[in-house]
Amino acid sequence: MPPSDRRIWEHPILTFKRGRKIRFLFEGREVEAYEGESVAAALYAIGIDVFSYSAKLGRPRGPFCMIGKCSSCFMIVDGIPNTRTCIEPVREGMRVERQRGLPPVPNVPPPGAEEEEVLEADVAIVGGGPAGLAAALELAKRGISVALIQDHFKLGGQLVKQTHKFFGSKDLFGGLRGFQIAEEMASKLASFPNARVLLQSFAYGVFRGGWLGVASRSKLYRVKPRALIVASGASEQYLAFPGNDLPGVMGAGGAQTLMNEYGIKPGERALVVGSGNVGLIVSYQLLQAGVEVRAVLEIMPQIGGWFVHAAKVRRYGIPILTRHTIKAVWGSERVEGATITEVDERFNPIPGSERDVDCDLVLIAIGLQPDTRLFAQARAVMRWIPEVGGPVPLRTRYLETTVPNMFVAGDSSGIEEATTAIIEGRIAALSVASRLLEGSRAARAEEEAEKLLRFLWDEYRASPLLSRARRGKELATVSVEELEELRRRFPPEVSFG
Amino acid sequence: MRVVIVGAGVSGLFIAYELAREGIDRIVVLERSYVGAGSTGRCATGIRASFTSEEHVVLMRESIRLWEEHSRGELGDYGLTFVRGGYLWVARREETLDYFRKLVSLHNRLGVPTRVIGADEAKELVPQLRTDIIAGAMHDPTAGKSYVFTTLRALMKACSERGVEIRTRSAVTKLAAEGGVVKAAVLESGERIKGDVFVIAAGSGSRELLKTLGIELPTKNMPRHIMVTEAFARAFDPLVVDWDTPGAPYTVQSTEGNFFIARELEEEPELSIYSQRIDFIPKALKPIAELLPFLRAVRVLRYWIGYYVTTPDNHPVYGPVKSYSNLFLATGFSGHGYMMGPVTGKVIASWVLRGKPCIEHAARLTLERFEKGALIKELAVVG
Repeated sequence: MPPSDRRIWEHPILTFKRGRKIRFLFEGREVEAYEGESVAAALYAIGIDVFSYSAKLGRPRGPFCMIGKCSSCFMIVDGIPNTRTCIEPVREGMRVERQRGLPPVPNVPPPGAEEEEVLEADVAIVGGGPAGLAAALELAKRGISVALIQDHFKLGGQLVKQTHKFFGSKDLFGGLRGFQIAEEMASKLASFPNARVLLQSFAYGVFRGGWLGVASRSKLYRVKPRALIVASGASEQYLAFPGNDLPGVMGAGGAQTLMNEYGIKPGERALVVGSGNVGLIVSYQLLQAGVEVRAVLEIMPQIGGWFVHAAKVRRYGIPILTRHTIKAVWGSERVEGATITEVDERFNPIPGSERDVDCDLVLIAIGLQPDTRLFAQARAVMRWIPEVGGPVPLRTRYLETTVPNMFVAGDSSGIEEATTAIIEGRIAALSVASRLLEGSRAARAEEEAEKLLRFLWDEYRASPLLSRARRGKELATVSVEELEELRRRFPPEVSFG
Repeated sequence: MRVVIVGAGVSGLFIAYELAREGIDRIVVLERSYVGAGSTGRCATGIRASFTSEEHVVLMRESIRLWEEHSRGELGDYGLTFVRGGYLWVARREETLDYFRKLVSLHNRLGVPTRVIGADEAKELVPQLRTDIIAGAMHDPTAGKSYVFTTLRALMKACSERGVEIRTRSAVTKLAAEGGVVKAAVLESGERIKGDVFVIAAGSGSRELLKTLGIELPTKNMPRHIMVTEAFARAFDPLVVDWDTPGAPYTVQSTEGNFFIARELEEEPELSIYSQRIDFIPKALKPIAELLPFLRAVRVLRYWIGYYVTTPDNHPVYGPVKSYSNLFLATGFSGHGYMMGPVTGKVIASWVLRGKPCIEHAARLTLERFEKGALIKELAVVG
């Protein structure tokens, strides 16, 4: 056991509230953690880099995304293999073991795993991030019952690692930091008796007759909602290079979770791949966390993110190398260094331009991809739109997809950021409310939706800084008539309501 | 000779492979979707000869011999595997063992060495099996499994190397004929693919396609549900069937480590394969997890529907068709198309090249039998 503790105790802008100390078993030895930490964070904090050895080639693996979207942090937890330790909370006395190759079949069935329950809710919402929370609040305050399904053990999604103060009006949480917004929304939601929150629960599919399946730790739920809002977020895009699976190669978001949410240093010397806003912001946050940043690489001839962020990074002396990419990383059980290279106009490496960089952390910040698995399974009509990160369901401006009464909001509708996610969550909810409510209450919901739509499209997205995402969202948006035409051409296999 | 095969599932590809091995150098396989997109890629990969009709037994014994041969030969070099893991039909009730004894005597008479075994012997084969709720089992030691995607990849490689052209995303909408001779397969795009011989191995799409020639294929597309779990180290080899639960739930661990789990639910034919049922996962999982309790703690990765393309007697439709001189069929496998793949390849290739099947039993399985009322009797349709 390395004696190191990677927890950050002094940070220029953040203070970390840690729960009480608890103990659990890692590979049969007692280790300490703080309540509220995920297993992955707790192990990383005490210097554990290798979480498993891969199924076929036995290669070491460590955490990558830290938000339950990948399979890099699988471990055997209380006898159950393939447990995503990044969304598994630490518990006193739990047993955590590394996986080595394909795991043996589990020998301890979880208690009550066969219980089934029909969940009553007008609206089911998948995802407890900004979009899902905003949608749930908007519906709950109108007396509509909602079931909010969240895979993590906490609400808030990626807001919890956003440490900057948001712009905008009070209505949109202007002046608060991301994690504060998450706290505020979650606690407000808890005050509504008609909002049920299912944590550590997975919406695993939509089914014939308009059912949604939800698997929690102890129960298999089925919900037949009158409308379904999917706000399932996004996952980090990946980059192919030798060694890209070594512990220490992480998504930029994964490092943010470690340092901003849990107060754990993700490494000592970092190389950041990608100079979009995420790459630039994470570089700055690394510095705040006491991590040295060797360089930010950008394959394009110009920096991807906003000038304000780039200037800040440059001010701290971090080189931003345009026309550069990563060629390989090396190390035995953790990144020990990387080779970078210059590229030509066609993005091919220029021979002889390779350089080695001394680093123990490589962050991939080349963009996000919408998590649209439920839409794909429901056979919603999708389109590949690079401006918003990949395939997304086509939808009206009211955010209904070709699957009747299945709505999309937030990053799963196309990558933007938390404020638009909140606005989209509210628009989707108001569209649903205008259908479920009657008379003047329906009309009011519709009016509010229109007001928000005008703000979103005519003011917020009118900023030239958001033009790329705006173009992407425009491509993903169809008229009500076009939606009907799409439904005629590709008849929905399933519908809600 | 130019051979046009419709359908790049296991049947079409094995037929192409066998024809190519016999020196036919102009073969095109037309596939409406991707390779294995139909029933092939949706199957549970079990392989057995323990049927109760002579036709199935003879054909499947040869198919198993070929699976083994292929796994040690060229296709094996390209990744095809065959594991002789056996089948285990578990009986929860004593009376079922009596029924098994009858089946065993039928199997044994036809040369398949199945036998009835006690719960303890069953546990030796499947260590995780709960013995307190079972009466015994029927065991077929000659049965096995072959992972479908490595098989498809091996076939694609071997076919391509021999110059077989596999055209995916090329849906055939119509067969054009003149004077009792099929002339061309017409694609959605209007393109006409001409040929001297046409083989229809189009699974659930065969019936509609043959209608364009005025041929009525008496098949139904029956939706069958199946799921797969995450992968684990090898736990046990046999395919385990829970015979006394309606719909005969079964599970088998693939060579990749995942468990396939299926159960037959009552369904209307022709229902969309994209209309998954919310009750399927618990309905299939619960009974099988009673027998194998660890499955309660296993995550399901995917659940999908595939068609059993069933005929009135649950035997395939093979070989030539009276009204067209250059048309051959290989369809209607009733849930057994994957396991029959290797023998289908041999039989159809022999029919195309030599005018008769290499196994005479196959000649009883032509379309004509439905007109003549010469249906084959089969008692056990599962997996």
